[in-house]
Amino acid sequence: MQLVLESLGKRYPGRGWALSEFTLTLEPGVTGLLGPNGAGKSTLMRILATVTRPSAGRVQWEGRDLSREPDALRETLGYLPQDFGIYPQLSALEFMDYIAAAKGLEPRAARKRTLELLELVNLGEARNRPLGGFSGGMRQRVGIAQALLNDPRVLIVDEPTAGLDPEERVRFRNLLGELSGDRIVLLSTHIVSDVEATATRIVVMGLGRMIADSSPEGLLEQVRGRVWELETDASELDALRTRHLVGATLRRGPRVLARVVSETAPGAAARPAEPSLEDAYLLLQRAAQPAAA
Amino acid sequence: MSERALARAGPALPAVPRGAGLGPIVAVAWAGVLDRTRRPAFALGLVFMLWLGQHMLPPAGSAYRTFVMDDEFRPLYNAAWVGTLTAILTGLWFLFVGFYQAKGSVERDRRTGVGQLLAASRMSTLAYVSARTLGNLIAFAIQAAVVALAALIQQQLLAEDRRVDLAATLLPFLAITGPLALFASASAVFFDCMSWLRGGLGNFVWFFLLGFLLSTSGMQDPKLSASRDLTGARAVVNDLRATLAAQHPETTSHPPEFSMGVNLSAHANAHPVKTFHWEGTRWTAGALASRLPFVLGSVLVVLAAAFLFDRFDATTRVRAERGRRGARATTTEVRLPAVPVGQLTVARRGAAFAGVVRAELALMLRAPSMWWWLGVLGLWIAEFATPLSALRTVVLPLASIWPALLWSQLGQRERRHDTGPLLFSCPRPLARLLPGAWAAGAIVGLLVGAPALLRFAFSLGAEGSSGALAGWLSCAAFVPAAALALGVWTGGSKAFEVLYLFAWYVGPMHHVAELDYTGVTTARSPVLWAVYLALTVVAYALASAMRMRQLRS
Repeated sequence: MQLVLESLGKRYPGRGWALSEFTLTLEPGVTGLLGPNGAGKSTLMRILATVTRPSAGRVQWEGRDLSREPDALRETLGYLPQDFGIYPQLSALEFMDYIAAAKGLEPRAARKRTLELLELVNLGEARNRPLGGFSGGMRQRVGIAQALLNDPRVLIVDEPTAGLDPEERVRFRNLLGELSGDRIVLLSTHIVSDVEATATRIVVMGLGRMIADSSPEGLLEQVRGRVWELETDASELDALRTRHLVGATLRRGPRVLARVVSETAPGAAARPAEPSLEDAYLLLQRAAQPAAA
Repeated sequence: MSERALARAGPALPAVPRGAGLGPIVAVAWAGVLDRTRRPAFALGLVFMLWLGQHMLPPAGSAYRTFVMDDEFRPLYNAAWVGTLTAILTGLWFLFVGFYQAKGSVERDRRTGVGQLLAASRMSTLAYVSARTLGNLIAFAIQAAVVALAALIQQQLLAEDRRVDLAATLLPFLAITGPLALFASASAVFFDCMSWLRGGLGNFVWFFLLGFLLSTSGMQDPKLSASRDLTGARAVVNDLRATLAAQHPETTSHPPEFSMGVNLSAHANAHPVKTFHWEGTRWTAGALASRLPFVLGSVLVVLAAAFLFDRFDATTRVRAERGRRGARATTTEVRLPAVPVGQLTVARRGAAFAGVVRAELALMLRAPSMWWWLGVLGLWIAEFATPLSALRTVVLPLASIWPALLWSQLGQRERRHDTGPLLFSCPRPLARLLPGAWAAGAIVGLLVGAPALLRFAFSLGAEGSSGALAGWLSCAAFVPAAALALGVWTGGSKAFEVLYLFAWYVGPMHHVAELDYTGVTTARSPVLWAVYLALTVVAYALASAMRMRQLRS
């Protein structure tokens, strides 16, 4: 089971290339797609979900070109877009029935699965309430449920944890882990901890291009020995930022504990620190920025 | 990578002084103007206005007439008449079309979230409503300015009287078009501010309200109070009548009658229209003051809008949506899933096309309130109880307007509710979802006219029954196809709602065969049957083509 992306590119009129020369082969497991806003993640996801056509390159699913045969993938696709709407006058149950019909699922089994999925995303009790009254997090959970409706072999989820509270976010990560067995799961996010918890492979994007494709361990190795912790006065933080790449900071009264990514120790008091994916991600993004920046 | 390359300086942002006075109003208004003028509908509307303006002034020897007095006279095309007629037409355009173009600016702010930002700002509700009204007014003023310029050019091209008199050409735009533009601007914002008027129902209400206001403005009654002369045309007509009677005492009617509108005449060339000289309305202080009630009325409309506007507070909407279903808001508790992911029921593919139709129908019929269903019940009773002739000429035309707001959702729901990404990634969206939506629309049409269809079917021998039966079936096919096409192409419901209203008013209600899409009020010719069949196919094909383009974007 393979989803093959060959030299994919997408050009929007008047806006240039949002995605270019993107080549990747996806196999069962969770692949995390990391990148800042505007990196081209959503464009890539929309192409894979067959709702946008690439301007260059092609996507092949089980050897079939999706530009010519998009239904080959749609039959077995689960897609949670970054931004999606609902019909406010429908209840969660009715909305799921509607999506099930659109996906062409057998109604009785689809209804049973719908009820189970709504329980799974913790909306069992709210299933008969109109979606118009749902909070952002509840709508997001409806989105997650509809993506799983047809037991997809390919699951594409774009910023799935946006709007979820911390507890729901953990539940969703666990859910992705359970789903990943024999499915291709592509998880796009700019929240590193979401990927850290679930992905077996990480693709980092920047400015519409791939800038890294590695296992989490591989990314950590790239930054090992270059991460430091330094406690400094809060007033000196800006000055530190002008000299070094500063990651997470932690307030300690008037002092700040800062993580610094640097080839050499950023100060006499700096201590070597265990690298995190966030450190590796920051370093990759900074390296990918144009020289003028 | 060098250490310096990693450096990123963060310059302090300068403090922005607060806007004062009319500054914020003008800024919000101007943003609205930019938003409107950059939409294709603005340019299209302007082109149509210019086309209409040109054709409403037919040169001597044309095969049609637009304004005739006493069946044989019209004013000479001088600066005054060209300017005045164009100004009246422009004002009417703003009332009939401009209103619909302007309506939606507040709703757009609500949908895009800009409203939340403005609501949280220091801007008062009155200032916001005034800014939106001003934005509409400026957009209208831009259109009127272009039309006025075109009028000056057209006077030269018509060449009946080439003397340039800027005051005579332009003052009517100020005195006649101005108050109408303001009234349409303010009303559009008022409708936007009312929850029950901001949707399709508001489009219908405006149409009927306008019909009422114009019918009471007494164009043919010279003695009526000037304060009821909404369009300002009656003052002009009175002046024209007096001028004509003075220059041509032989006119047969006193005061001389007039007709306005496109009047095709086979003998127009054989009997060319006579002209008389008119210097234009003297816009004295008194004449201008007669337009003041409409300006003050517009100001009152703005004040009422500001008073009733919810300032983007979603409470009312959420309450209404919850209340409609009688559901209570409850906090969901976090619990562990009852069924492990691996053991969920697997739903295989297997639903027939009927499943999509059923789902689309359920979605359509979920929207209307209980009152809509009571209306359907009333129509059904009328369809059973009235004589066949009344059924065809009164009841079914009324029945054809009843589902209009359901039909108008077709083709644009995916964009309006942003469900496109979910639905277009489903299998065969073009081959299943689009025809499913059309079929659901057709079923709604059949449902509303079901008793009539039964009666026609059981009385096929009666005169006109078979034609009416076939007519309503064709109506149920044609209208959803047209709605689908307009919905997919425009991405909104307004175009269908407005066009459908006009077609309904002229066709089924006034029994104009060519525009009677129901096919029940008059006997259709074979050619007309073919035309409606072709229109149905073309409309559906257009919807498919655009949807295909959306899928391939």
